[in-house]
Amino acid sequence: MNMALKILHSGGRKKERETVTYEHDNGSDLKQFAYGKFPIDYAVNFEGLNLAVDLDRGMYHYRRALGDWKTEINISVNGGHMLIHPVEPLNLPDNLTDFMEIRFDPIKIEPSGICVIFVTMPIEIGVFLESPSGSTDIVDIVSYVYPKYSLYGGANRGVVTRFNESKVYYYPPAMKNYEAGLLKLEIENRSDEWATVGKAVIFQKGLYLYFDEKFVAASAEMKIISPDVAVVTGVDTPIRQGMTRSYRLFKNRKLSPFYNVPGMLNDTAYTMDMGLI
Amino acid sequence: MANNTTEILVGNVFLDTPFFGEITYGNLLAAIVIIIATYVIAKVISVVVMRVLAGKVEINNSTFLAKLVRWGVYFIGIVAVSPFLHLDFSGLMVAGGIVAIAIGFASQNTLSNFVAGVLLMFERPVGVGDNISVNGNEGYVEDIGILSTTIRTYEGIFVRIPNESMFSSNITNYVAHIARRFDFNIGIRYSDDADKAIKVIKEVIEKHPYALKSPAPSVYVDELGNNSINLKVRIWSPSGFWWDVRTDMLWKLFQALRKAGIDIPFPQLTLWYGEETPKPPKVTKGSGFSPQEVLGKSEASPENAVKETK
Repeated sequence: MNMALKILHSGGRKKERETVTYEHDNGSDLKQFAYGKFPIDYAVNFEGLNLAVDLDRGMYHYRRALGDWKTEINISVNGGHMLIHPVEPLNLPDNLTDFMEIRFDPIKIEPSGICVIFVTMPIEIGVFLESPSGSTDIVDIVSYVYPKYSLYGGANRGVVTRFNESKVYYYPPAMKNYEAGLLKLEIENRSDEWATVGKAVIFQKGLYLYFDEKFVAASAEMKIISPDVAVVTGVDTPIRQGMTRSYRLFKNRKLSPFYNVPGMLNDTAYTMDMGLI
Repeated sequence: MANNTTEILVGNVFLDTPFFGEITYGNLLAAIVIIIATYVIAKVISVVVMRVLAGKVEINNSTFLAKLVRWGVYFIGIVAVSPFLHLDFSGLMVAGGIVAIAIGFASQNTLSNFVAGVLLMFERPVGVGDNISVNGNEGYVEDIGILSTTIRTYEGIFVRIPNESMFSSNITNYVAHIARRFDFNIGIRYSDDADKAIKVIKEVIEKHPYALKSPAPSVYVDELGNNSINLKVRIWSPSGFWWDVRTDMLWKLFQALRKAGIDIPFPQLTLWYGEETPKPPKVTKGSGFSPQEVLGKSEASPENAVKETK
């Protein structure tokens, strides 16, 4: 399988193409979690996570434990499947916000310059049940990562964000796919001035997560309009071929229409107008 | 040119032709146009009112206001059309005016509440579900009506506040902004290391998901008090969760400080009489604290204080 990735390279208006090799493919021995679609009575025992669905007198019992954090749910369904997919990290401990913020080491970008970086983002693991008719619902969300929230902008007109700090990578690094995902961020400075970027705020609906046996990843574009303003848009494209798209959790959440969310231009584009660093 | 003039004249003649009594076809045509225009304008304005108020006020209230506006436009339309139909409302107007004045006096408060309610709907200092304080009543806004606003206090008690009172009172909306700050004052012993205490407190804050990363929490020595070094802890939290964070955090901070060997001293006063040899302080039976814990090292060894006295 060809693991190479074509990315847009930094440096002016001209977009060069470069082949990037994944660190995973150079012999990384990180133990990875198996996402996918499984029989309904599937069981998981992985890095402290124990998860099982048992059939007892016609009723399914879902049991999950991660350390001291335990959940038990009774499920009435006539067969079906269990989907274990990575989901956007905006659900724990509560659905507090629809925005994810990633802070990274600031990057200076020349006027009209373009660069592609990779940053990490936390991952939550969603357990879905699919009935024989194909109807899917979330059963449980669990995460190895302790959540932390922040505020982008001021208290009067800012947004609460799920906070994450990341190093900046110019290649896809190896990582534990049950803890973190990759965000491929294409940054384009459309202004006539140098811009410094140290954070990206992404709306949940713009987080299109894809996964394969080694990666969980999403893509986004950041278009810098002025040194203090940028529009961040989620891109519904896998970062490499052969990836499966995660089940979208926002269908189960009641998201406000974008026109009621300050800064949203459409369902996936958020205007960061309260600073980029 | 001549033919056009003839047609216009013919047209005018037709319009001036009586239709019913003094009402001409022209009057009838003008009345029909005004009625249709009134209907259309009323419809458009009521739709606009509904859209403007959508999501801002309860659907019942926005419907009521839209109807009120529509009937207002209808009334204006009827007044506008009356000269064309040779209807004389002057007598009715005078009588109506007198009745209106009487009703106005009788329902002064009701009208002022209504006007205040409409103004509140546009100004929107509070919304349904907000956590507010007004006129000494604190609680959650249950409903914003045309005449009054209802609040459910934290004790679950129903409070109705007339809109006029709401409009003219100071309203504190605790959740109007998305995040808010709360403070703790924590006193530690003079024998404790304030830098270590600050580090411990910051670690506890960092571990709490809803203690916001930005604006960054602030922990500093605020005051050298009579009995303790007073630390100020300032934490930002999402407005909807601040009380939970506050109650959760205070106990966690206390536990973490105790675990780190840092304690919160009791208020104390040590008296020395002349050349009397200092005695070790006694601890009240059952307090569970050692003299070192209660007084700290400096207070338990007051030699320095004695020397200074001399």
